[in-house]
Amino acid sequence: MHKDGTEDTNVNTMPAGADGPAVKPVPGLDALPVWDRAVMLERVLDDEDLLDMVREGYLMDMPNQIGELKNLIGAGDVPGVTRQAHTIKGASANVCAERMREMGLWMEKAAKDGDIAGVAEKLAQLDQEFELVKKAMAK
Amino acid sequence: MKILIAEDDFTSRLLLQEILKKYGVVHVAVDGSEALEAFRSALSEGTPYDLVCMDIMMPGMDGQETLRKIRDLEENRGIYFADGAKIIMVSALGDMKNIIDAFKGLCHAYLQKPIDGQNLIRELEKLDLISPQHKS
Repeated sequence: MHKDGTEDTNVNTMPAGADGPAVKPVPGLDALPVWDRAVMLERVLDDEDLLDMVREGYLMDMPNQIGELKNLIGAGDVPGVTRQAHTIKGASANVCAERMREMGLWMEKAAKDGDIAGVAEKLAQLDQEFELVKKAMAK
Repeated sequence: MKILIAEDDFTSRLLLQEILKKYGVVHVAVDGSEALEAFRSALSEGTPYDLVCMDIMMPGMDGQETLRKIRDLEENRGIYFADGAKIIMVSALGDMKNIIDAFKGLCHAYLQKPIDGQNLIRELEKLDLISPQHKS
């Protein structure tokens, strides 16, 4: 916390708080682009209109997918969490949001291993990563 | 061409729909049960699907089971592999077991996500569903 009351926003660490020690972030994200627009454009056949349509669709739908993930975690639904993390991974891969894809991959693997608590710990980081994607994809 | 997309993810559905609508009429199912029902209805009406693009990981009945049941529906009507719908699995799952199971279930092709328009079109050309595209 700075003297003027502001704090740095750092997606690579979670602040320690009443809930306990800092949560380790999902590793390996630094090397990945938030959004690789050029590769996405190739994959949609260089169609800028299609890119915009899919980009907008992703931005509209992803909050629902993240919300569903949270619900499934709350319900302790291990297969559901696994499938939902897989969905987040796949949707993010389709739009070349590589850091979000990696988050989905990590969460899917953790859920397959039964580590729902581990997935839950990373939800704040997932939210922050999506905020980065929204900024990158904003027209 | 009559096309059925079976895909529970909104972004994937949108992408597939927009790429494929240039080549025919596209219908969408959001899970395996819906896909199977759509396929059954189309067969019963005498207007079968030419192409099915099938995700694997879907809630309820997954794509592998849906694929097997689609082939059962066709066989029950005397339609065998060579004359049946072309089925392309489109999945983020890239492990050998899923790929082998899909081909054992009589899919024609397996495309791994992320969805790439060029790869999908190339597959349609290989399956003789569309003529080779002009490349500028």
